Amino acid sequence: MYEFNLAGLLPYIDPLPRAILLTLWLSLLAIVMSVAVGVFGALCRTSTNLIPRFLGAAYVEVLRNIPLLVVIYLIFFGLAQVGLRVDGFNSALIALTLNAGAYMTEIFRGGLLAIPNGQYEAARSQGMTGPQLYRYVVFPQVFRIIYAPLGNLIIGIVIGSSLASVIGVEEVTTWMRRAGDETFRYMESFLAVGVIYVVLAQTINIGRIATGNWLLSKAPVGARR
Amino acid sequence: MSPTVGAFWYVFLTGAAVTLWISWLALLLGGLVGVIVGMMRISKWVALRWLAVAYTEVFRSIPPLVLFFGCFYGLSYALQLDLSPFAAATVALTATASALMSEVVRAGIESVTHGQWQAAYSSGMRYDQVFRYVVWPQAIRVMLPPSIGVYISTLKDSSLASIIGYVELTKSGLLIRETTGISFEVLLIIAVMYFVINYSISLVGASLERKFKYVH
Amino acid sequence: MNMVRRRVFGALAFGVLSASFAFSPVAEAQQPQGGILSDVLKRGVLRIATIGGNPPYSSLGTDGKPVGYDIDVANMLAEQLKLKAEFIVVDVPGRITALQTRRADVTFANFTANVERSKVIAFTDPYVVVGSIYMVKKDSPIQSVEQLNDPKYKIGFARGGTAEGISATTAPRAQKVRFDTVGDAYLAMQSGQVDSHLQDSLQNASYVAKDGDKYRNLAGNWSYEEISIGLPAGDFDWWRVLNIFVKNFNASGDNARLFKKHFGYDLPPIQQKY
Repeated sequence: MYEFNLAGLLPYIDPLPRAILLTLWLSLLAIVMSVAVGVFGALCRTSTNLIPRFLGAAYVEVLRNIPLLVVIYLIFFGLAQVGLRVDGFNSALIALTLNAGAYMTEIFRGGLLAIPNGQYEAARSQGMTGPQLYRYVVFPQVFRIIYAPLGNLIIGIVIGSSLASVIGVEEVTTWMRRAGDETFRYMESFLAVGVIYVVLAQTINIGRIATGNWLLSKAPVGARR
Repeated sequence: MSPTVGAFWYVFLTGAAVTLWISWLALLLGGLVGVIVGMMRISKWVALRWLAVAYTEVFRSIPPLVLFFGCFYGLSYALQLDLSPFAAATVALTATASALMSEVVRAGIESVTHGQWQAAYSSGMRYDQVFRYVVWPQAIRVMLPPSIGVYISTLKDSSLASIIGYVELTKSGLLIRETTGISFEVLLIIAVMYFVINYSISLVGASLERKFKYVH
Repeated sequence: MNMVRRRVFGALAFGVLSASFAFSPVAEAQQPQGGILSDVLKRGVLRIATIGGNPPYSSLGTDGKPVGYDIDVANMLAEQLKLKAEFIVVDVPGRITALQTRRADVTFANFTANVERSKVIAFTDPYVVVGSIYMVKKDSPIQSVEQLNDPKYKIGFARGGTAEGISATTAPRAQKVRFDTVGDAYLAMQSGQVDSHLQDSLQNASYVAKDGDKYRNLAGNWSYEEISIGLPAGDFDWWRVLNIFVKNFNASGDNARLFKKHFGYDLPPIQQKY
């Protein structure tokens, strides 16, 4: 009979905090970079010019339909073969950014499209400049629409960072596989890491829900109607 | 000396067929579990509702890669189960897909307005009759488009089965690449194949969506 | 709508049915101890665990079936037992799991017999003996393992194998990059993603024979490893049959012939002088 023994993992506890930090750092960088990609992509997709619109759409469709794992392999091994060498961490970061950027583009586009043209015209006629228009009219409304899918996508990025383990990045999933392989305590290492990911994802989830409540309480009078 | 990439066309196609099959299987099983969890989610009993939320959140939070590992190695050892890579991959993919599907089902059922329930009850229908004749026919239309999305997402997740040695499309590619030593071209072929498969599914999904669109 | 629903339910039922075939509790496979030989003979099929992406031991052929030295040896065993060979491709740590869960009857996968693994599975006598060698690209600045033992250099190897321990003792300060297969680690060195690949010495010799102008070895052989057939622990009769096979295979010249065919050079002595 199998004897559940979490203490069997104790010799591996030292590198665990570092592994968790690496998962967080990789995810954080990917979130920041993919937001930038997403904003740019959304502006392309909502552009009046055909070329950026087409390129934006092509980027989204291609990256949404290819598994992240394949993108990671393609960047780490594929590009290296043709002379462009990117190390494990950066390969994972680029792959995650490209992948999440496609979803970010769609989320931001949805937000932008939700604002009727009349509002832009109204704001302009009030004498608002471009930055003012985005700061006071567009962004508050867009944020209200996108915070929920954005929260889900951020969880997706943290989950996706686990794939960095296939190219030797020493993050949490690599820790789990190594501890399991060397102690045969596979169930224990799986459960330990499972709990870590659930805690990370649910922290983000709670943040998302709190943001929703805060937005509701701060809703401007006009929006409450 | 080494065979060329083209010589492996049969392995590529077999891999694609295996990928389609296992993700289809996981979608069906995930749909079944998703319906149960989704119904629990809107249950009258708080305990059931909490259980459903916990299930959805846990399997949404754990990376599929970690789930594959847990199902293949973890379950093999802990329960002394003779799980093949296929069975382990099916269980892991089903867990992920069912968490997504439970949300789809819940949204589908909740899309049917309260007034319709009341109208159906007042015309003398029982709970199960309301479900069968009023709620489901409408809910299914709402559920169909996001289900296509879940299928594509499951199909992409199935690529992770390669890490437990299940020879689907990605693993086929990785093995061919190791045999031929050619990374870039092989990985590009795999990427294009995934794109063609998933993009076709999304096109079919879009046309289904138009067909099923509820006429108000 | 009804048609659609019926079809959906039909498909669901079919899915459930096929999934239930996928599970077969170990109780069925795990007969009373000592039963593998009779099980295998009754079944008529020998289930062989192997790894992919590890040429020339085992890799994938153009028909999608495994090929290589280990595969030929396993086929020879199946032939002598008059059984049909069925290959199960696993990953590196999966070689042990497949035996422990009795999913495979034997493992042929460049599999090193050691004490740690012997706690959970069994091994026959060796059919080849290998060492471990650090390989670098020809133009690499690294000249020795002492020089490689530096945090600025990266050593690649497959996780779950013996390279983990060897690299920890021979180059503790260098960075370790763990890959899923031997092939991944080799390709990573080839494309410059790692500075050195810690690899099996026989495999190394075949790489050098093929691409000697691209790579070179760092002096030193860092392990002595007996490559053996793995089998589930606790089955004397099964071990007896496999061990006789190995002894005859080594003595008859079959081993020398198959080795030369796949590695391109003569089989080194299996018996080590101490």
